[in-house]
Amino acid sequence: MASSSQFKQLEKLGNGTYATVYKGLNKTTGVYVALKEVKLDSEEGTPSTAVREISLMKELKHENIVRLYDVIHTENKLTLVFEFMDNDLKKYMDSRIVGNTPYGFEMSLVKYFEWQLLQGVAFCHENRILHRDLKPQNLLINNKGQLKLGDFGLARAFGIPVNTFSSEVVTLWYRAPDVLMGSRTYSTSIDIWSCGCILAEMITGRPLFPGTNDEEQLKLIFETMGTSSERTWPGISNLPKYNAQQPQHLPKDLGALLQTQTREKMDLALVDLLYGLLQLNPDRRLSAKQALNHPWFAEYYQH
Amino acid sequence: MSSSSNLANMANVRRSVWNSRAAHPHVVQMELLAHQLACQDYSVDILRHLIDLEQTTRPCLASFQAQPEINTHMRSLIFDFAMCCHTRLALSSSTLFLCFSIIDRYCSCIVVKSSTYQLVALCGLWLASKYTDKKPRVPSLRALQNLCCSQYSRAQFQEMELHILKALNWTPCNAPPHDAFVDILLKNKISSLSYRGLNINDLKYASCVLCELASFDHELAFDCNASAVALAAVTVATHALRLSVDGELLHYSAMLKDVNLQRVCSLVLRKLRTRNFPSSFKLKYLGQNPVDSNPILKSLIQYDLTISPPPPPPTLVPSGPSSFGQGSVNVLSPRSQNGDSPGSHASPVMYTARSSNGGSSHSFRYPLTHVPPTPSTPSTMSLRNHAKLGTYMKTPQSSASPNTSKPVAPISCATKSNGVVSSTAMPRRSDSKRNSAYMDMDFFDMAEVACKRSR
Repeated sequence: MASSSQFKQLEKLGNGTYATVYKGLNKTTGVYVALKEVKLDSEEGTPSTAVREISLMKELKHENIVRLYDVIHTENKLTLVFEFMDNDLKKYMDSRIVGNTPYGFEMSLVKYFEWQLLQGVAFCHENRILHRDLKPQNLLINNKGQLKLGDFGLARAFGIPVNTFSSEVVTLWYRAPDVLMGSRTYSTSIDIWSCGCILAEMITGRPLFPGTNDEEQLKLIFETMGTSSERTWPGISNLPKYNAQQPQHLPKDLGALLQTQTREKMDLALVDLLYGLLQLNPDRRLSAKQALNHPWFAEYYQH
Repeated sequence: MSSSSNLANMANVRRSVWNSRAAHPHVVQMELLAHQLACQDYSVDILRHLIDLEQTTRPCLASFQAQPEINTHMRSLIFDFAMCCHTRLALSSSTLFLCFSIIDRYCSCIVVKSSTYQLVALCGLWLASKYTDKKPRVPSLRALQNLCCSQYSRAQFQEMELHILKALNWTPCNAPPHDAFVDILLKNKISSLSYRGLNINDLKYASCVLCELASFDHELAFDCNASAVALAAVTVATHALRLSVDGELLHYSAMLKDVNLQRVCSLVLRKLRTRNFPSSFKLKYLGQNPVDSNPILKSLIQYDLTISPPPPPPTLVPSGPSSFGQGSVNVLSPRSQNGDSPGSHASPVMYTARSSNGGSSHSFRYPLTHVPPTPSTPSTMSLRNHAKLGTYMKTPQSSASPNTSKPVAPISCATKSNGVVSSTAMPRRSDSKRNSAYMDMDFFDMAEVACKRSR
């Protein structure tokens, strides 16, 4: 069992959903770690987010998921000792802004990151876990170009008929339209929508749907992806926040739209994958497994 | 200030409108379908993963039996208490199974004093709820303290919670609950012929009833995996509902090649047959009403009465049930005497047959009159039961059980009228002053949960 004295606390790396993260040094091994400090509340004891995150991450051992090495209990806080990653995708993208113009990644890097992202997501789903908060800030990368899913503070295990969950999950820009319209029994498809948004963002360097509130977020989505009707998405009119009076939009050509924001070539397979991930109707969205078998990734799975 | 409270008010209205719309059956059904579709890809992986997890989260009977202060009898009292709390807090069904698993696993690795057993149970419930339930549902520390009449301090709760986390290597919540397996089994088999005409909600309800009962049985809880119990429960539930829906009688063993599974089925049915249901179980499924009032429970009991239980596992495969008349079956089977439900009129006959069974040497240890009525049993009902000779006879443990030196005593509970604990039912080792394991009566008065149907 590790003790807190084993680690030297270095600079602050950021604030997670319910905790503060520091860089740390394991004094015996000389290995850097990320130390996530969780305050123990005198009212609720161990926060449920921590109970879930620890339980789930102890279970998830995969090369595209950040490893939780240990948990240390001291006085009134828990320290979660994670594998240290050099950077996160958000900061990495920000570092590529020249002047005011964001630049996306080279297509080979986009593909490698998206592949790893989907590998991690597929592994979560196979282990009946929803991440529910996929966004560039939570995707950690290192100097070897590895990408790993981090921050499982909002994650939870799902059953096969699911319970209804909270509607306040996933940072707005990466939130699926079914969730925005009030669906609460969302499923693995919620993570897939986020993967689609992140893919587009890696290509262009800008968020695909940067809304400021639920309504605007839905508007942005519909303007680009077209509005849905009962015909294309049976049952949509029953969703709590469905608005029948909204202006109707035809879907835009996503490939052409993104092409204006990148110097890389948008090939047809990539556009097809984007449409598969960004289906408005959650039933039609690809699963992570299916996405990994998409022709765009052929160079990876053919080896 | 007023504008901000106004805003908050509006947000509340909006939220409640939204919540009520989201609860619309169409929406729920649509979402469920979408989810099942999305899971299709993963159900095999998930099942495999759950079975792997289950192997790493097993409690250990030998360790439990080595506990100096607690025993299987106290275990059933504590489980009863935990289930009452669970029902009263209206937590999800997975939470209960997870809570039971946490308690047993903690007791498999840490020596637990009898005076802290209840604290372990409450913290197990707390952790399970934090993991499974939606945040607003998770009980507050105050609520937990109230459940045990503030017997433990806030600090004790927090300390115990952390201790459980550490003792179980920070993964107390990774044990897959029974109902997860029930769901997967039902979903994967729903198209198969044996389910034709049966309501899947009824099947799930019946299966969960059996799994909950099984959790009280230490033999089933420690020796059998949750997946095995779930499979047995689904099997028995299917046959039982089949019998009551279209009168088609099939002995579960007729379709089962697996001797182990037959054994689990027979153990589950034995638990049902004792009819000495934990009081929490009655609270949840019967309220103030007799067993017959719950149609699912009635179906299960009917089925058990109709088939012949195979002799203690697993040597004999019973012959086809179709030829059995009810009376002859029961005479041969000392453990099937129970039945204040219709169809068990033959039960008094069984008295004479009892002594012929080697495993029943303890059967007369408790005179009938000492069987305590449970708090949720109205006095009229207990009178009626006593009038029927033998209906509440305590049944012995199966001879197959390795630790049946004494029969599990009936759950002792104070009755509503006199508020005293029936001392005859107290086990020797737990005779200490503490009686917090017995539920106080307000507990039942306040619980408004009657027969909850999962529709």
